[in-house]
Amino acid sequence: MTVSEAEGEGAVGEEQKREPEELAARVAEEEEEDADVREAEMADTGTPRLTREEVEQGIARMDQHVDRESRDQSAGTDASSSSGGSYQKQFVNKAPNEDSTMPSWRRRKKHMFVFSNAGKPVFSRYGDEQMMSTFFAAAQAIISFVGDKWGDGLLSMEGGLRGPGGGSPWKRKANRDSRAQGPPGKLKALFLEKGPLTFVCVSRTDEPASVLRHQLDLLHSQFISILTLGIERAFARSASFDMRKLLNGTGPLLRSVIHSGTWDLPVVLGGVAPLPLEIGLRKQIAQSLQGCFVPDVMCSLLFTADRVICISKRKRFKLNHKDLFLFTNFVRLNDSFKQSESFTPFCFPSFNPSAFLYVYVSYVTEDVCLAFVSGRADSFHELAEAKVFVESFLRQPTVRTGLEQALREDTLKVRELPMSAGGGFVGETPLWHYVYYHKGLQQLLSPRMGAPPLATRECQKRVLRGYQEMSTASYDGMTVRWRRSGSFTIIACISLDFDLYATFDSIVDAGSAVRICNQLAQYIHSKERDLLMPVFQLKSNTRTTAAARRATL
Amino acid sequence: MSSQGNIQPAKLVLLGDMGAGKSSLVLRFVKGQFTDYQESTIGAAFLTKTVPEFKVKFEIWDTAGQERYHSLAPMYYRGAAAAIIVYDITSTESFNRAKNWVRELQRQGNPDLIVALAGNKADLAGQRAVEPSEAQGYADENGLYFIETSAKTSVNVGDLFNEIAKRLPKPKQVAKAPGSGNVVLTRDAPAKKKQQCC
Repeated sequence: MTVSEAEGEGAVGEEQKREPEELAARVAEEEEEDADVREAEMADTGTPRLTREEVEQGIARMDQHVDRESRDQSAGTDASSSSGGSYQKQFVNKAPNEDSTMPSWRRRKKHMFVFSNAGKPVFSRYGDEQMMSTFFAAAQAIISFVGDKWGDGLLSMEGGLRGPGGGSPWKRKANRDSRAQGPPGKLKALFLEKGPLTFVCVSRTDEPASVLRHQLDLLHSQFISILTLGIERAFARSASFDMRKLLNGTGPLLRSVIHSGTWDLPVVLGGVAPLPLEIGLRKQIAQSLQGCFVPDVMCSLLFTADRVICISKRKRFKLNHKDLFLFTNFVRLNDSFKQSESFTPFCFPSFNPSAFLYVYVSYVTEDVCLAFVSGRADSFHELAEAKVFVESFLRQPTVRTGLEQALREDTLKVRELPMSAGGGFVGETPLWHYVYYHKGLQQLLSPRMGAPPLATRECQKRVLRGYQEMSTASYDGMTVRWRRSGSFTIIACISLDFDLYATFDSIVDAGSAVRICNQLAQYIHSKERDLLMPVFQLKSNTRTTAAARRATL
Repeated sequence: MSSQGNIQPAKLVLLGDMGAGKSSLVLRFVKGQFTDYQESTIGAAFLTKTVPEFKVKFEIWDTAGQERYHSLAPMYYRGAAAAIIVYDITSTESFNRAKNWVRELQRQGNPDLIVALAGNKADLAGQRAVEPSEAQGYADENGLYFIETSAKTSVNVGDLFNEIAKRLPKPKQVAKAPGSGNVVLTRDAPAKKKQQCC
């Protein structure tokens, strides 16, 4: 496939700038890593407790699957095109039997661990956390040794790793939120102390410390969302409290959140991805959500696996994009929600980290999920009635066809754009992908990745990291940022109301790229009404918020 | 009231250790489905199934087995007509957890609560860790209805629920409620919404 070839060339071009020995070492390491990752992802199709035979069967199955599904040369298979398999299965522990002494464990690109202040293991992304007591003890020693000097609970270190098996003489270096752009492969370690728990990230992914910190914060929020700050009381009672039994079964959820730190645009850029929908229809849907008034309901949501259709909420219920992501991810990850109506406690960490709210969850169609957030534990039956109301509304022919169409057709696709705004088929237009981020509403519009030219996982990852770097790094207030890397070019246009990130092919010239960006921004701005999602207020009389009014103007 | 006559709703709750097969049992009974990879229940799932022979509409709360949801259980078993405590016959640990659930229900002191003990995964008899005689003995001591089931092969699943339906108290008071030709009074006026100042 031409794309992957271009990818390979681009990578080689980059490599040549470096010293030959280092290059050779890097290439060897990368190959090893890729094999490692591939192996791990294949083992992924098995059940949580894998035996040797199961792994082998899994590999055989995945091989067939790979042959059938795609012929590209990417390291992994496309996880987002989950053909039949459940989403959750992607996030079972990829290496349940590894421990910190194994080379395969050390080669993994991004580790995240959590342990308690008493040194008890709580969670590890890879491997069996219970086998890593010595590693955790070492990490703890580092924190107590140097932690005092930085004080604010975040400590980051950088260093080179001498070969996969060797020790790692980390050079200590204070490095707070600066652009830590060491050569690739440099090991970066971040320690984040949150109450009785310490969150550690050890990464070789070149992401700046601020980004890794953001990911650790998200992981922490996920912990709060599962257990609330009540865990601090449990630790206060007994420092040696074993948290693992309370986390039973949440491994895939925690791993999916780590995964999202790289792969989900709403997390990467910090926003909500709304489903483009004609404003009239969206208002009607909002009215149906508002129409079934149940006391103590704080928020009603309608969403799909990756986009939000409608939110209607009480004014006092603050729903930020991070909480919304944690919630939608939680629902998306658990297929059991599809089987029946469910009622579950859920903590929205940014709203109130010390209390659970009760959430009613039910799928109203195969893809569309309805959720009510309630403050009352006994509101299930009222909410179930409200759901029947919403469901019958959504079944009306005009509403149903409108919604189905919006779900089926990605109006944000590059192909659907006008020619002047970079629209066209692959090859016709230099525009590959874009993200429009509305600052006021904190919403982002972006075509789904996965279609050529961004077909391979590796390519997607590099584009996402590019966006991330553009959004986080300081460019001294520059309004147009430009970055050419290998096979593509990324431009970021920063303005007061919105940011536009666009990926072009590598041969585009600055003039035409900027022209397309301007046209694209204008085009989206003109269609904002039907693309962005106003947040509706849940009240007996329908009033929209200021932000909503602004968006509908 | 529906045209089917006096179908009685009955609240039924499933309790038991994580992975014992509560959801699988319920899905087998309600939908006739079974999947090998049943994902963990989150919080609690609600399903209904009407058994016309016994004029019962089961309102089933399938609770999550993880320990962190334990504190929510009273919300579901309070006011229940019946409870099924499920354990996995290949795990003594899950049988012990089942005993804890029995104790917890007994502490609630509801004499009318029908409690069934279901030894699930009977198809895995080869890996059996809990003998039926042991479970039967325990059930007899505590006045439980005991049966071994398999959600996978569907063995005894129907029997389990039918037996519970049979044991439910016969609806006497309700039978006379919807008398024909009588004036039907509505329930209380809808509660006034609390006025809040901000």
